[in-house]
Amino acid sequence: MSNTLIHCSKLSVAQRGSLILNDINLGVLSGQSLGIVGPNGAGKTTLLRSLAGLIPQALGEINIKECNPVHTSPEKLSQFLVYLPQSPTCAWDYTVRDFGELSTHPDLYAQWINRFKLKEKLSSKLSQLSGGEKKSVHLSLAFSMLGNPLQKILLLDEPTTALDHERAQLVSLAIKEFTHAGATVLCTAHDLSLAQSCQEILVLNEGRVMKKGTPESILTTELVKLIGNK
Amino acid sequence: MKLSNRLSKVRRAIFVLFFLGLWALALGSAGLGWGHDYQLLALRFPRVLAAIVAGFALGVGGGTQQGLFRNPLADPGLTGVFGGALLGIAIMMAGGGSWVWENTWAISLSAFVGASAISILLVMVGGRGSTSKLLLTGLGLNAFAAAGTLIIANLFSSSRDILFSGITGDWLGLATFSSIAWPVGLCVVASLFLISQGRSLDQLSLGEDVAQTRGLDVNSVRRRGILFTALAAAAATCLVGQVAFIGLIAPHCARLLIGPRHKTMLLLSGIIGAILLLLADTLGRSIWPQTPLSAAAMTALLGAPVFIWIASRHHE
Repeated sequence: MSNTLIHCSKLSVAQRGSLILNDINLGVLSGQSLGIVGPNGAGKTTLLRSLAGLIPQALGEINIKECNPVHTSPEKLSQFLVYLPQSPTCAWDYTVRDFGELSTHPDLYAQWINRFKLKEKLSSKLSQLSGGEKKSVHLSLAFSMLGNPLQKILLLDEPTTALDHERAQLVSLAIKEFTHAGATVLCTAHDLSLAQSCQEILVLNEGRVMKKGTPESILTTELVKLIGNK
Repeated sequence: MKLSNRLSKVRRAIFVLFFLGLWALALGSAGLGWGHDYQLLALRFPRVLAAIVAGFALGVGGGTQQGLFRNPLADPGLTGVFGGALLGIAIMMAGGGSWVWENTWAISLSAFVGASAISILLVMVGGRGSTSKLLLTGLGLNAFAAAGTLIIANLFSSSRDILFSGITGDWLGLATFSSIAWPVGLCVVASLFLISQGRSLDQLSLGEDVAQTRGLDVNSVRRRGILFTALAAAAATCLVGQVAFIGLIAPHCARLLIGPRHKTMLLLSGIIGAILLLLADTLGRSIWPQTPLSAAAMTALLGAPVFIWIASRHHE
């Protein structure tokens, strides 16, 4: 399909002798949001990291905006791709304000800090923040890095972990805003309300794609049980 | 913190260093004074210059190594890089004899080869693990390098005294214009290069995965950083001998004063390193003029408690 922005076929990843991803075929259209769900160990994080070009030993074909992320220079990839890991860290104890200097768009970072209701914490150091606040600061940085979202790709690994309900809602809203503005968003989620806010859901289990479709067609009672109770 | 505030603190540190330099030039075993026709000044100047430049390189090298390993306890002295440099010098002295003293560039080269070899081993064995793995690997490499240097010092009596004074960080007293020219030049080149890598180290502070997706060629930055840190540490070793803790304390103080942005932090760390080493050397030769203490002994007196303090605050 001509406006398929992310395409991978027969993607397999083996780590320490076990197959984490097994023959994944996936296509994501430009401007689409895709929630990736599945039980622990299903391969969600590995799939996102493969798409970000972080797993050189990945087998099969990955094509993002007509380049293979593993063989594309990090500089070129960073022009259209932003990745936020599940547990983002920073080695040094920045203040919330100074952390924004790491963004290519500090003005957007300041806006997201406001939206996450962290304006009063601008002078606080990262070590003084709660887990949810820290995650919000990293999300603000990642969101600001998108700049103009058109034709950009945002990969979020469990973005609502540690967030309270209000901030989790803001992440869902942000994903809708970004896709509306032309970005393609892929996020892994244990939080099914976040997955439901995506246009499509991909269900992974034991490294294989079980199902892909709209939230209404995918989230059956058995599936919710599998994701939550495996 | 705004850039102007950071630079204002850097300027203040430069003032402190300048006046400390004047004091160190004037101070000798006979008290304050520059002697007749300024001969004492000419004698002390290479020593003061060597202390400033070596301290600067140690401060910048320490800050860079901490940035590369994302670890506030990394220090070229503790991770065996100085030990490697000294072992390189010992091997060159054993093989080269008097030729080495006529070609001081060879000492710098051998120190660089030794420091690089230890750095590469450090990255291969302990670079991607926990803090304790990194420090334990450094400890082992340091012990190995020290043993090698001691064996050579014992086997080759002609270089024994000079190597022992290198192990105790007591080479500043030997500084002459001709002996420090090469290492001073290399310290300056390595330090300036490392400061220019500040933005890359900022990206690396977010972790390798995020740094890579933000456009950083992580492997290439690590390679360059490790090689130029080894060069800075090797050149500083040629000037002072082994001095631990400067590379640990200086970046820590700089981060407390102006925050962790690497470009200005490394610059301030270098200046603080220069202040610390010059202060240690000047105090060491003036407190007990008849039995002067080496700069390394003074920095260890100051550095060991700070190391314990940082370690007690650091959580894996």
